[in-house]
Amino acid sequence: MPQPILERSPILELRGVDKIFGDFAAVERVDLSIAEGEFFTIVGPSGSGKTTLIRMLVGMDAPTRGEILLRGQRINETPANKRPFCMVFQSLALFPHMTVGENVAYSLKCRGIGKKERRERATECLALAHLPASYYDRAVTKCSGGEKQRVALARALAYDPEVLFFDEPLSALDYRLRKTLEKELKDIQRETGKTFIYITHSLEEAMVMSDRIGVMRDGRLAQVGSPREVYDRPRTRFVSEFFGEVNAFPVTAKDGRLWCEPLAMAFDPPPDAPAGFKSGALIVRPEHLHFDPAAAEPIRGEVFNEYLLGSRVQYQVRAGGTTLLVEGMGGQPPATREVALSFSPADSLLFAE
Amino acid sequence: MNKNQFLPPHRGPSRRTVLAGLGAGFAASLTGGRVKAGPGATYADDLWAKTVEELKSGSFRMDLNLHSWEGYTEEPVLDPFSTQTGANVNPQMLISDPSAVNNLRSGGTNTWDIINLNNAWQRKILYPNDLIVPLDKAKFEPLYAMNVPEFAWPYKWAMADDGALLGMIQRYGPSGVAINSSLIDAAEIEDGGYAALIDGHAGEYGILDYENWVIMHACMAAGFSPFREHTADEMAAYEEMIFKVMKNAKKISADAAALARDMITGEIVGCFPGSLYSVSAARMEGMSEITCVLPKMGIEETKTAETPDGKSGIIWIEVTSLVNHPDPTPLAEAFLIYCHTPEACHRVAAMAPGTLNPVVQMGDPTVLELFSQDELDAVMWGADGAELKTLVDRCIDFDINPDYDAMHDMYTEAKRSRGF
Amino acid sequence: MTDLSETLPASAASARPSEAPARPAWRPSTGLLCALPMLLLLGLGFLAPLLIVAVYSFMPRGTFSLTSAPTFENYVDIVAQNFHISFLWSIWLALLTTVILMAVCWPLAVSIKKLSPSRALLLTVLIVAPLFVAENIRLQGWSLFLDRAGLLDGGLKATVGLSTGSLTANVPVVVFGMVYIYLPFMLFPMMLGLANVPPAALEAAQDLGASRWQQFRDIELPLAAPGLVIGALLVFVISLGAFSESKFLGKGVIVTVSEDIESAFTFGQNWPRGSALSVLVIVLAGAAAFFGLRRLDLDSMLGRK
Repeated sequence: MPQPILERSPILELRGVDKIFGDFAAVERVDLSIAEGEFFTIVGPSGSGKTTLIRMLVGMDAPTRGEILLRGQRINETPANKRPFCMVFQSLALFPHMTVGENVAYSLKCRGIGKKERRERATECLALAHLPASYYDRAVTKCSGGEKQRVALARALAYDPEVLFFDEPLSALDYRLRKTLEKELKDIQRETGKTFIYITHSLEEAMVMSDRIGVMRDGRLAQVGSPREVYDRPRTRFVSEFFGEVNAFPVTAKDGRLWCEPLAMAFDPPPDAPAGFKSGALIVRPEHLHFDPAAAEPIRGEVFNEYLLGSRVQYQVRAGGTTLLVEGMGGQPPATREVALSFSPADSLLFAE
Repeated sequence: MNKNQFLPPHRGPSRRTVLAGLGAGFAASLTGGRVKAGPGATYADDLWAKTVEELKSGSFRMDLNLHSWEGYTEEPVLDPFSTQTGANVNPQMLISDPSAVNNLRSGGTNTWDIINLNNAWQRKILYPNDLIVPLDKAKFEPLYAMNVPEFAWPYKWAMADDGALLGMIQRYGPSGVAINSSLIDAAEIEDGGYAALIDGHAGEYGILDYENWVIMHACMAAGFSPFREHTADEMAAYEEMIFKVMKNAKKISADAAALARDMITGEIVGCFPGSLYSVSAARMEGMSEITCVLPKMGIEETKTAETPDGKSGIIWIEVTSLVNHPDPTPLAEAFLIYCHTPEACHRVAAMAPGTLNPVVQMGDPTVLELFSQDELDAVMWGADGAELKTLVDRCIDFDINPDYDAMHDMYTEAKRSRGF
Repeated sequence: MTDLSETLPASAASARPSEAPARPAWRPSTGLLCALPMLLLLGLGFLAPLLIVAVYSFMPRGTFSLTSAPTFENYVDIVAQNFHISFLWSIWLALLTTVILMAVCWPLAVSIKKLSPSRALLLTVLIVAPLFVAENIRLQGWSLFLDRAGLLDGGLKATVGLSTGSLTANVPVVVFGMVYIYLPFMLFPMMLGLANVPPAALEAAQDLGASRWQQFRDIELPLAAPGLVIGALLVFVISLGAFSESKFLGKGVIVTVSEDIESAFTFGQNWPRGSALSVLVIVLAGAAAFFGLRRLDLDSMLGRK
């Protein structure tokens, strides 16, 4: 078993980093510590500042305030080409006038490494990225989308960086290829033991690969934690909703219970409900809502739509003027259109407003 | 004269000075009914009035197509004619005499009604090749009464050997060198000849690059006429001269106005060649130190009993002829008559773009009265025309150079060798 | 590892997109039909005059028709006389102008690329604007500025008492004039070429440790090369035919081939000689274009891959 992530020494640290463009703060007060050999993913909607953050780490932009530390050393002033980092761009940014091999070996050429050694090392990196050595002399423009991804990865690996950055490199690929490459990427990270920092707006992608996830919103890190933590214990309603559609019940505290006006019923609070809660939202994920005809205090509603989501089925249920989402494995469809729903308070999340 | 096709229009006399001069002329002619009209001028005006009357009847082509040097292509000259006759005049400016001749040869007779060229072409090429038709002698001979004595009837270049009158004559211009007389003494050139400029002011003069004129004057500087067959020795002398002329020049330009400016600023002291044509505009602006000078001592072959000093310069005169058009229009002849009216004579002389030129009709007091003192100074008229007459007397007539091709080759070689 | 048979390159290679479907037997394509009017126009307006010039160049001296027996005398004359001087000057000036313009326009094009679109447009318009004024008039303007007692000399004399004298009638001022006149012909193709350099490629190179110089040499230059080559060719070929600059600013310090051609056609009354000189210039320009374009992938220039 690998050492638990947080006990390893940090390779990269951000302390109070801001990036201001004019009067707009693209990144604001970010503190973050990334451990050696970690696969860290930054997730956020577009415009949340994740690309700006990564550009500052790589050295293409300078922070307005704050410090970036590499193994405890400040690197704010170190230019990109002097940082032991490498980035796989969203556009891949392959050099179209070069062959696959020249692309991969470019960093070695810049370092003045001889032709023969360049070829050897580039070929190794091609292999790591699952490209055969025969691709070395192929024009990069002749490669397919997936192959280009691999070339970009091999090129970054050839640089032998201490940290590899990825700026949504898989977003343009079809679903299946993306899934394959996600797993490969994770494998390569494990094989090489390098630190990977990955940006994506797809939570699914983040869940598959990451050791830890940082969720960004409006230039700030809303939450950092393992995929499990972030999924199960989102710290804000935004984080919880970022993981997909949820049911949000407006509730107010009443006699130790949570009164939901639209449904005209009360719920038990979750065990870790914040003390002194007055009003807010009770979040229940669709998969935690169950058809439960035997429930003591059921939510009564009427199924009016159902979608097949691969192995799962999603139902839309109208209850008390709102629409609820229920996801099941498809095993037990409701017998009638009139249904009773329930959930376990332990599966609900309570956010104050 | 081979005027330059690259001259920008309306350089030289500013519109204001021209208009001022014009005003003075008008004033003189109006208030001074005292001025005695010359018999030629009276005849010209009467003939023109009669012609305008005649044109009112009869049907003919109302287009008049004019191929000419710059003097006849201008609105001040053409507008009164169009207004009085209703003609639609299409002027096209010449690029060079030989080009125009080639154009006529290759079908241009179907286009143009009037061709205005330097002398010699009419006698030697156009008339023998039936490209032009003779004028009505009875009508035109009396107009010669207007002319200054040097161009009295019968004038060789306007006539054929068989006695036919081949065209009207009007603008003329002597050519030698141009200098800024405040920088070098005119006497230096008059006494020292072309060598006083070419050798005496090596590196200080410019070449006015109308190529055929550079060639002609190089011949004169080498001591012989360009307008005849040349011996091998003469060709060698010419070659040596043209290389020297090129080598010693400070700059070469086909822009007479630019060279005049350079003389004024002292960038160059003089110009080879330089003609009245190229200095008159600067003189009109009051720069009377810019002047055309001709050596007193001429080439050997021109020394005769009457002109013991011989001739050193070359004079051009334009002859305006009727093209042998398959569908002639009486407007063509009418235009030539119109050009003799005193008002038109003055406009042709003084209102060309960037230059003023004397006209032979200045021999008539009515015409002369139209010229302001500034205009007379610009064309170096002098007292009673004496200064201009001196220049004209020192010139041989422009003609065709039979060795032009070979000389032009040497000219271009000499010019290129400057950059070597 | 997962089964990657679909995504792995080894099998992907069998279905490369570059293999076009087989073409049916030849028939006039829409493209050819569309190009027909243009081809006709080019044939009549471009090739026919060229052909006439070529035929003229084999006519005897001084003829103005195309019917005489062909002769090589014009070419013999050109070799025998010192025409090599003007040819060498024209070639040298064209080379010099091209090289200087490359050096001048590169930073300019790079800066324009970095500007915001509205500013870039403004700058572009400012650069294009002089093109609406005739070349000769602009050069005359420079002459008036640089001559003795001109705007510069006179202005300096009046203000600080210094005199520059005449700055015209020398070779450097001719080169200056050519650089000035032909700048847009280098700048715009170069900008087009630089548009082919994705900013990310430069960042990637920097990220991979490339110095500024390495980025320029390995990424910017090769990617912008098509524009650079087009610009250089345009400038070289046009400068080869330049004559206004030497005429209006050089004032006879040198003679270019085009001045020779003009003289042959006008005062020289020797169309065959002028034609022969033209043919030689066309051959020179054609050779330059051939060698330049051979190294160029026009498809990638126009954004097709």
